[in-house]
Amino acid sequence: MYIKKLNSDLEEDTLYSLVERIDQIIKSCDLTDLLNLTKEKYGLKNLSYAGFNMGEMTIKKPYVTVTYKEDWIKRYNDKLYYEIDPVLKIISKTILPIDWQSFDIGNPKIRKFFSEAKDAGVGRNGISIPVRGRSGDLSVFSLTLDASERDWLQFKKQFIRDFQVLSVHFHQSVLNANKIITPEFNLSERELEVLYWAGCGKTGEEISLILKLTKRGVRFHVSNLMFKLNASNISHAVAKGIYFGLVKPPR
Amino acid sequence: MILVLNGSEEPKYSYIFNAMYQIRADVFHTRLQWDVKIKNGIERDHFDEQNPLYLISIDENTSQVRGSVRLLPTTGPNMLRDIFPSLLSNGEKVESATIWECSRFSIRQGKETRADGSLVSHITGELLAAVVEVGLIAGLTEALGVFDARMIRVFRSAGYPPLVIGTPHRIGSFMTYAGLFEISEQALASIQQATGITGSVLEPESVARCLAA
Repeated sequence: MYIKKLNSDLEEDTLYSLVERIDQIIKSCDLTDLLNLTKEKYGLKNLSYAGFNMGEMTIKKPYVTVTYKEDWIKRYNDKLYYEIDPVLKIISKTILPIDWQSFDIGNPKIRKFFSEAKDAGVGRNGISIPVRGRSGDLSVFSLTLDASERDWLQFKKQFIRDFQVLSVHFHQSVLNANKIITPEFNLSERELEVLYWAGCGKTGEEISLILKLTKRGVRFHVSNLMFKLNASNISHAVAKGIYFGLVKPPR
Repeated sequence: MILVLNGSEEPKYSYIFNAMYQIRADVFHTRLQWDVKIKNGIERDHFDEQNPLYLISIDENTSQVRGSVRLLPTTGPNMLRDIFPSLLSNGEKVESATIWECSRFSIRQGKETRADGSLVSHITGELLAAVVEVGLIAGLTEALGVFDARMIRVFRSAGYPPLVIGTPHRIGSFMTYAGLFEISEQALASIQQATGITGSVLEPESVARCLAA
């Protein structure tokens, strides 16, 4: 029923007109409006977006925009549900879209969380799409529906592509609206290793021993790092590296 | 049979990952002579740190790993952007929500595959069918790949010819190309027809586990 109605209501250029609108967003207050418009066009129950690794804005908690009702948002925050919400965890685990049905409801806390969410009108069916940005920025874009099992399967099959596109554009518009630039650093593997060890407090000499490089070689990589990250010294480069999610242990 | 594994599952399945990295060392270092880093006989690079999705071909009877391919979104760090930009004409970029890059396509070089030519085409077919199946789950339009001329012939005979984009370059000892593979039900049917594969190649439990994140 839902799918039939959706297919007759959707105009051919719905996706592209939404993408165009999303790409034009320059104020963060317009982001929720766009989620609401998308929700309306596709006859969804809700949409939500959570962004991570976006510099200072997301140091303490993810950047969140949702279409949920106020009382659920309040409850979610009061109960610290962001600490257990499996949706927020998928970005560190997979690049595949995840259907909420597959979350482990054997865990009583998570079962309670989802049953409360359902009661609060979040939606019966849900799927979350992980997004990877250019410079370590990440997000998860979720949509929910109140539909029969059959309609839900059909919906996923037919529209997952639309929502892959929308999620990436939405992610970029969040960065744009909040004036977060995500420069492409293109650090080499060696530079990433040097940056990591510098971040562990190792001196140039120690790094040369760890990586079996000459001291001059290390200096060369450090100067490249400072140039590429536009940093004034190695500590500044490490700080920026952490900020943009570049400092990770090598193997 | 194809196992679908998230990079984040590596600690749990380290024996499978190690077998895959050994095959990659054999293919990319020994055979293709690419400039890849080998440590303790395995080839593992920093894209393996980016939590990619791996499709790994397993022998149903012996559980031996016999080939793999690695998937990464083109919106984030990926090889064509960061390692092989020269394969695209100047300034061209592939960065799309619905295109994932498949890299490190590799098949075990061993007695069995040398003795049985049809085994290589079966493993190739399995891996390619898995790329399309997973691409359909994820809502992709295309997969992007970097491969040498010999592989184009292999892909073609598996019913899955890529659309070559950009400019070919010599990497190691072979001419190397970037190309796009279509993700669609028709593409899947074409691979199945050319390679005699029937039904899904994905091992259901591994898919369920991946999708349970």
